[in-house]
Amino acid sequence: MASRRMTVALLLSCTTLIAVVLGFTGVIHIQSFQKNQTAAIMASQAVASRESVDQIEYALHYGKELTRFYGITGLLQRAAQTAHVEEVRLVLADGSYVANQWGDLAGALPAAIARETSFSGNPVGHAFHRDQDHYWLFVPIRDRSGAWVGSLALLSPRAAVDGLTLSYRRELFHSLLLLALAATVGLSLVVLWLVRRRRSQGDLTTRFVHAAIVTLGVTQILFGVQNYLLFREAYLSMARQGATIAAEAIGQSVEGVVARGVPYSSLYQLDEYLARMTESLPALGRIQVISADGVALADTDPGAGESPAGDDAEWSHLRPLRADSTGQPAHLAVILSRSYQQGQLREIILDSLTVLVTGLVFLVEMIFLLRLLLHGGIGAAVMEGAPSDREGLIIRPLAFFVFSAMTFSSTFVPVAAQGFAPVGWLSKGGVGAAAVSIEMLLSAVFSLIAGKLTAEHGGRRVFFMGAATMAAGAVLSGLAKSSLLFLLGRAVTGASVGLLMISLQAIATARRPGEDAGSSGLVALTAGDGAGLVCGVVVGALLADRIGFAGVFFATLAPLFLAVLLAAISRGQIGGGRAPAPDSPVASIPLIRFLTHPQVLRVFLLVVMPTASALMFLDYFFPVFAQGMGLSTAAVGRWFLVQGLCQVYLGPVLTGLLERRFRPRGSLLLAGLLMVAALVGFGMGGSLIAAYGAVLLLSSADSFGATAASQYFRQLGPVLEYGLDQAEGWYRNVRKIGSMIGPVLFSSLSILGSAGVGVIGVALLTALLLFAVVSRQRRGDAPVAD
Amino acid sequence: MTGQAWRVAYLETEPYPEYAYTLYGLIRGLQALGWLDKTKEPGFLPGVSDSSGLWEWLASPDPGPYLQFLPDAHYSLSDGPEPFAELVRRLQAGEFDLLLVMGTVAGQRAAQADHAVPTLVFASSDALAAGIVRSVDDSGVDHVWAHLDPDRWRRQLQVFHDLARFERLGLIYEGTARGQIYAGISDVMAVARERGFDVVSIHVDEPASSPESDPAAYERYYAEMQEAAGYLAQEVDAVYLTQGKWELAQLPDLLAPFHASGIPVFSQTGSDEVRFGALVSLAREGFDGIGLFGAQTVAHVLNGASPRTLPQVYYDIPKLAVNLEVARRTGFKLPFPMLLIADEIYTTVARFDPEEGM
Repeated sequence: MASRRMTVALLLSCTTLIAVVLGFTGVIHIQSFQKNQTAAIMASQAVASRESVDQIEYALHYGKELTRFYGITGLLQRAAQTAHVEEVRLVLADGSYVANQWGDLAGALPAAIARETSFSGNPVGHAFHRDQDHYWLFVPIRDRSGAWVGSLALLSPRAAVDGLTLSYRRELFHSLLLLALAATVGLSLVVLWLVRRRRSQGDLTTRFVHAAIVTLGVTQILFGVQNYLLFREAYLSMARQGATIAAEAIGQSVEGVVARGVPYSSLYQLDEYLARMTESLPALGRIQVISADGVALADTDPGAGESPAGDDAEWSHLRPLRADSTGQPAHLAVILSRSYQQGQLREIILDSLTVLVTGLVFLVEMIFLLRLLLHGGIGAAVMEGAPSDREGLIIRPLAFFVFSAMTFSSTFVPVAAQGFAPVGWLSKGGVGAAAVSIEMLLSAVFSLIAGKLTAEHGGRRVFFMGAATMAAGAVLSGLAKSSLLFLLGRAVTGASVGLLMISLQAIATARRPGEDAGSSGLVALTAGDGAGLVCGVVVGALLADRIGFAGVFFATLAPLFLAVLLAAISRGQIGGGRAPAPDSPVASIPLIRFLTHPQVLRVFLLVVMPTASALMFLDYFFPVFAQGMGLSTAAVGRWFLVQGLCQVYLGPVLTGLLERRFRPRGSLLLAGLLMVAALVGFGMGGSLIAAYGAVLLLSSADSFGATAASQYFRQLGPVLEYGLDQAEGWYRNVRKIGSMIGPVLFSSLSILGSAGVGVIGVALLTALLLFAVVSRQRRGDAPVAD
Repeated sequence: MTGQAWRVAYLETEPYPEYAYTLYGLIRGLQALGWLDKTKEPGFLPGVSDSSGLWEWLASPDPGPYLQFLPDAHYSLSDGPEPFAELVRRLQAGEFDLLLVMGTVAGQRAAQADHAVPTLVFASSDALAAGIVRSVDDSGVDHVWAHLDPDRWRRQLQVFHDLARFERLGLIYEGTARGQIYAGISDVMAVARERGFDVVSIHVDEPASSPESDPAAYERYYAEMQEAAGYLAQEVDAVYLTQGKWELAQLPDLLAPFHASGIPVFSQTGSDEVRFGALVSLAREGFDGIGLFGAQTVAHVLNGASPRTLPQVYYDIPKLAVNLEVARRTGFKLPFPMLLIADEIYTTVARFDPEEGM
């Protein structure tokens, strides 16, 4: 009976999980499409309104002022003829608007929109915002000196713009339902077959898990393929629409000039004008004005040879142009960018793969949780047929949820921080660095405090304190409207990380009466940690591109709530929670002697702090750099996923391999040299590819280097004398201090460009070489062996 | 004044198209505000420099009940000193409630004359430099007001320099204080210092009267202008055609040396000169804007406001005019974005046709 109940519950849960993962993929893709579609429509509108903006800017060059612009309504009326546009407003740089196409208008934009669409120091061609009813497109107006003085705001009804993707959304939803149904039927058949052939419940469960993973993989791949085909057509159609709008706007402009007697042969600098259009609309690869005899009169890409327009009508839009005063006709060729389209589709494939990997990790974790829940309650913890150790303990799903929440915002904290105005002596980059550093600092400080608190109140209480603190930090970060408030939010979050990490460790290592000390709790913690990291960064990054940074901070509350719920209902499991007596003997040397011992000092100063600082390339430098290179947060998230996968899967493999060949000292030096190679390599290259290489090298190095450094440290005589647990606490905190210093270093050296990263690499190399020299084993100074 | 029409007088420096255009714009503005009958259309021919025809229309009983324009209240300094003295006497005698003034010299004379009738000065090249008003914010005299468009020549010249990046700019103007004000010389020199180009100036005295009354003076004037143009064509790489007393019909011949030498000519005055041979002008788009602004000022004054307290600054909407034929002759490549926003594109250099006018 229990077996049947278990089977049905697993089946239902797995199909639900598959539906959730497929749904998540679908939502990700449709939102990406909707976002790109909207961006393309806004870019088309920006192109179409360009002529009005040019007129206004010319008037400003002559000395007119936006606040006293006689005749502005005529220019706004022209812009209001753009497709989908309902109203056009003239907005000043301070956010107040002074006119629309019907006359004078008094009012101001909401502060949030004004801030979001500020072009001050921002060279982009346009920006847009969505409110409840409208899309607001802002095209900057600049004065003679290039300073931003106001914007043309084009309002389009949301229903009209969003309605353009409706058919694709419906088709995607139908596919999703069909695949989920097929997956359910397929998985049910597999389960029935397994039940008939079952040998034991444990055997059945393991096979069931395998079947669920395979089903999820297959359906996700099928859904990815279907998405690819659907969106291939959708993106092309969207690009063609953009090309049509742009061609019409450009065609009208060119004909407007030609109609006044200017022959095509006298259109100078038309190339530059057309190039501005391709910059605004990246879906357009090339624009040409071609004479009747096939000569390109203007071409945004003259080096590309003859136009492929005639060969492939699907990828081009041709618009005839009127004959000029000499009787010569011409036509406009707008050719779509294949590389841009391929890039969009590559994003779909990568998103699908990312969600597949994350979905599998998520599925495995949820099955573990399910097994715990179904097997006589969480308190029993050990399931039938499972190894009778503590692997199944609640710590694993608890850590999974907590680390998911912790890493939701990892990919964009410095980027989000730089979105706020500089404060005091902190520059924009300084705010980004401070946000990461302050989080690390508070994490270190509160790790120490948490150690004392867990000893006094037990891990469970500290866990709840940490969860409440993290919730407060997330809300503060999400609500923040200024740098100071955001930094406060990150400081509170850092404090919560310290509390949660230590409390989880306390819970994982807590022993109930009669239990032996073992490592299975820590193993479960590590497993949950890794899975949470993978899911947290990926989901957070994907969501950030769609719901914004603030939305993700609030979304952090969801996994946090699940963690708290789990902890609340598993009182029996982690109820003790009070930190056990340490295994290590009582400290035989005082703290000051421990900290000033040369062996400890050189590890802290020459290895732990420098490598932890260097690793901030991943957490601080890379997101900022990648965003500057135009990468989405989701794309950054994929590289964090790589880091997580290295930590979870590559680390143990490399550690095992290296342990057979090197001692910990050798491994940590090797890891350090890989880090040096990563930083120096990026410093010399400075490109996105170099950054990817650096991320891979750093992630790989850290995957075994952290373990090697920890092992080396644990073998040191003064560590054993001082006490392993206490010494490791200091080790963790020194690492955090290094992590805190890292963003400051990267931010300070950013004035050197990518070379600044190379400088950090050289500094790390110097520290490692120094360590290699001073840590050479000498007689009488050998580390204490286990 | 209740129940009685406001009596308006008019004074101009001389017959000049811009004055007639400005008066026409003012009439349209007053019509828009309801001070004049909107249904009546003043007879006005573009290019006509004589404002007296407009005044005759205003002096007819039709324009409306609020304003009275007496037929003998139209004065021009070009008619000699006596009419101006008569105007001052009538102002002092309280025969008028408002004086409309066109031009720099007329503005100076009217502002300095001994009377207290509200005086509104339009179409002055630079009312501040000419001393008609004390500052942008304060005319300095309770009954005086003048339209100001500060730095307009400077802005105009900056745009021209952006376009042509010339290194030696040629100018022809009268070497008097008045001539320097008309030509905006202080602005020209400021931009030259700012942008680092040289200015080569030739001074030519302008005739004091009209071509009809003193054809010999104009013959001398055109000869000197031709000589100056021939000299500058060898010395400079661009010309700023400041305001002058030449007739438009003479312009194609006056500018021919520049066309032959491939030198772009930028007009300070406006699109009419582009039509007759200048390459580019960037001047006021029309007179509706200043007309409405002026009409609002008139309304405020007639409702009791002190002219001194009213805003004087109004920036014109620029109108860009280019001449493709001149561009072809001089080999100058007008950029497409400029053609795109150009308000007027001329494809020929106009010639005056005595049969059809301009």
